Amino acid sequence: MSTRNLPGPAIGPGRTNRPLEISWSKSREPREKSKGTMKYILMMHIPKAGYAAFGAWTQKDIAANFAFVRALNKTLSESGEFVAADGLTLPDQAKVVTADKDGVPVTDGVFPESKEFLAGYLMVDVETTERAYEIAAKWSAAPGPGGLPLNMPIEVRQAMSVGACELP
Amino acid sequence: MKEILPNEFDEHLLRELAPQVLGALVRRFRDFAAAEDAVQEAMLAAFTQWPKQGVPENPRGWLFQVASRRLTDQVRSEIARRERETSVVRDAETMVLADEIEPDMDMDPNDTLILLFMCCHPALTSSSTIALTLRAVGGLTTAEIANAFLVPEATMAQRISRAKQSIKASGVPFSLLPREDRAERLPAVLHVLYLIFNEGYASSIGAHLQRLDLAREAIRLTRCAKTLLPDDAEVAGLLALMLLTDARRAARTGPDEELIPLDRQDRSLWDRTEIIEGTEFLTAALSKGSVGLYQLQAAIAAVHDEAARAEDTDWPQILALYELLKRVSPSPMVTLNHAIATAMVHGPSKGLELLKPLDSDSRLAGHHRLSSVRAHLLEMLDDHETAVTHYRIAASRTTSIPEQNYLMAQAARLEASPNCPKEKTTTP
Repeated sequence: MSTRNLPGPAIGPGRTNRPLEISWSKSREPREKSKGTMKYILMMHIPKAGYAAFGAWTQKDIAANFAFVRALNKTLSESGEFVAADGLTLPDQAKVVTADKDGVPVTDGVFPESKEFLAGYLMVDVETTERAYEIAAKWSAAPGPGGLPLNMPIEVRQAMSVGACELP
Repeated sequence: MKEILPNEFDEHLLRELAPQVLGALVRRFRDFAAAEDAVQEAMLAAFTQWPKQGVPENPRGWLFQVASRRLTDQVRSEIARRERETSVVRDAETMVLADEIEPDMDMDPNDTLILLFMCCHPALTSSSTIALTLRAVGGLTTAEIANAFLVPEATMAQRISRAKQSIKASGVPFSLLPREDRAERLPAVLHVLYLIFNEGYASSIGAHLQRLDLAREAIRLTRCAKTLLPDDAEVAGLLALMLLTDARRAARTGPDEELIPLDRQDRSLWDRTEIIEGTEFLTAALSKGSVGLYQLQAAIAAVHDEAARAEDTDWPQILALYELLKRVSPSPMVTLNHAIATAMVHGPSKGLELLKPLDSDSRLAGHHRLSSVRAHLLEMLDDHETAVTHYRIAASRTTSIPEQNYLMAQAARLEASPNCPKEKTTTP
């Protein structure tokens, strides 16, 4: 289980911000009887070009972005929602591995330029889906050049559980 | 747990003592949060020392001494810190020191109950309530709780510490709630115990056997609540429900850890002792007069448990119980189960009719359970093609891997023999 910081690298300006499809109102209805927590993985995907743009960030902007991510991480740990997080190495070091007929690994490292890469992930254990979205939105708004929010798209997926309730 | 201990000692005893020691400490030091931490440390010390050195003669006194020593150390260093910072000389004489304490002077069996009601404070989220209850009342370690919920220990520790802060902020006095407040809070307490059981029972499948057995812990805590609240029919009902459900545990998974639904379980694997005990508790509870949600669910479980074969199930009785449950505690899940019972008594078409309004219920529309029940009833109706579709929809919507496997298998089974319905092959 890693407790390292969330990934810092993020793309530069110019990325089209996708409009938010749903916004969650702050005022919540009286809660349904809760069933405990659910795990969600939040994934930040970055196009390969984004990594190059990151190289042009000022030292100050990079530091601000890292500090933001560290603070987010700390908040989640203190709220008892943190499960794991990692930033991943640059995509030029990525390999795609398949097994040949003897099970020997065959590596391939050539990717099309347009491909998006997983830059980092954050796993949380939360009571509601809305809370997972809220955390994703916070991460999405991590500061970029000039301290402006990046509004990165974060893919949110619920983890399957190994448990099962009684079948009808 | 047992594998890591060189000598066996009764860890249940240790866990039962934890809330008693905590209660005594809270009354003595008037700081729930600090006392709770101290008990946790004493528990950890016991876990490492007792297996090696043997269980002390007065285990409760031992735990109390160790925990109160931690607390006094904390108080001392707090005084020292304040003296350094403010140069104000504190009156250390008023502080109680561990060595002066008679170990058993403050023990009260009601403490466990006080703590249970305290932990199930309505201001807390259910996940923090569960964590705090398991630690403060259940005597479990943070590591064990974290492991049971598959989160890092630090995260679980934070959940517990936040829960304690909320309790502190709400200014709850450490005493038994007045009878009427207790009655008001009891449903929340029972719901938490129910959630703990459910979490344990649901995850008692497959590769996670090394996880702490939360279902058993829930049964233990509910037993304890029943001893302390002997006149409450719903506490007894909940305990009965847990026992009558847990009794089927060994039969609900196959050799490849696949889920086996109730009607196909090998009933010889059901735990008779638990069934008998659960039925006794239920019978006694029902005779008290006020029938609640847990007693009704336990009664339904009992009807299933008493059928020697699936086809012997007294469905009219179950249907009548679901009708009561719909009145006592209406929810879409109850409506869903009521539809199944209706189908079993009056035929699948009647059941399917009852499902229709649920399509527009926001709490259930798009829920995998609605699709799986619909698939099941369509299969009963011999509409296999549509049943396959709904099994697949259910499989795509569930968040549980064993359920997904089960639903996919149902779709595959029906597709492999579309003209050979199972009802017609078994009953000529």
